[in-house]
Amino acid sequence: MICRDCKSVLPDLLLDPASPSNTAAQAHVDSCSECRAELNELQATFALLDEWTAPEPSAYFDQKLAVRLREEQTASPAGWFERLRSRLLFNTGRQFRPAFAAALAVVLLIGGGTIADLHMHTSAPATSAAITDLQVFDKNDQALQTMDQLVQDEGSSDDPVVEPIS
Amino acid sequence: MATLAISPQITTRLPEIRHSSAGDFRQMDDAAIMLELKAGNMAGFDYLVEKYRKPIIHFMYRMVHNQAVSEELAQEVFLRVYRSRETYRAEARFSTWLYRIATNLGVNHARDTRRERSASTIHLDEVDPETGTTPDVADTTIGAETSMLRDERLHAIKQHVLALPERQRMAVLMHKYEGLDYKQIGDVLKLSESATKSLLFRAYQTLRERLKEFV
Repeated sequence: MICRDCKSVLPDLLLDPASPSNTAAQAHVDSCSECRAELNELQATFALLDEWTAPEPSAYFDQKLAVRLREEQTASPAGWFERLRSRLLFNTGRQFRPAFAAALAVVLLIGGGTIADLHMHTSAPATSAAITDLQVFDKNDQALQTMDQLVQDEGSSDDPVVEPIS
Repeated sequence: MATLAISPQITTRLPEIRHSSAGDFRQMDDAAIMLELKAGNMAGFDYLVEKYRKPIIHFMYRMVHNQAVSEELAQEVFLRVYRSRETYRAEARFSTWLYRIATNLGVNHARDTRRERSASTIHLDEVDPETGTTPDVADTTIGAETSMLRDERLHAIKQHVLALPERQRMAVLMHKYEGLDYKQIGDVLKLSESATKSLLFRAYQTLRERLKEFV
């Protein structure tokens, strides 16, 4: 085991050093002074956190809860919106997983279909290398013809004026 | 004077309505006790309050740093359990669900009172609502010095735990002080087990760095 792997399991080692899954990490810590020092510091920090104790519940907690519970029992039942809000806020969300998966599948289908459709319409037709070469030759040929034309025009204007023989 | 005699056969034909007692609840799963509560057995609710009262109050106390408020919020947690008895589904461990309610209430309370807490002032002649004691002032005795050092250390612990990012803070409170495992914490915070482990590791590393001088 290398130090980086060992550091990722240090919390496990901290909490359950005797666990069989931590044997390799424990062996590494025993042989590596740096990791051992880090584990010792973590253990010390962990122990330090124990100093933060919470006070005992007050003697009136149960009475106050009983009063609030009686009020709750006599109050009118919560509306559907409040019940829905509570369910959304405080449940684990597991019952929504199938619906969420189905919604995700629908979104992927629609989204994927739209993108594929757009791709088909917008992409330019692919041209082969041979056609590209022919197009280049064609353009070159046109350029040569234009140059020939220019040379001819220039040549005809430079010709000396031949006097008619009398 | 007329007398009414009930035939023993009538009593045997009566439908058996049996509610579990506190003794039975010890053998039962919390989810099954919730089903008892759903069926109208309030003894189930009393048992759950008795079982989780202390851990939930302590959890709330470490979130809000005030005993009176933590107890009020803990009562609210149990009231929400009572309100949800009809819709409760045993899809996760009861304790996970309970801590989820507590976490949401604590986080909402912390957000609502953020401004008040940042503007708090210490009055030397007033009793601290959090600890029930007056603030320590300089004293010449050795005991007072030790006490001040201890208070300083405790203050640092609270301050640095409180300063952790919200999820890390909740994870540490549940892991360190409530003894929840990675899976339960992950369920409460809606994280995978490995993500929870990594979250906790980052939190403990941060605390190790910040509390170095007190170790």
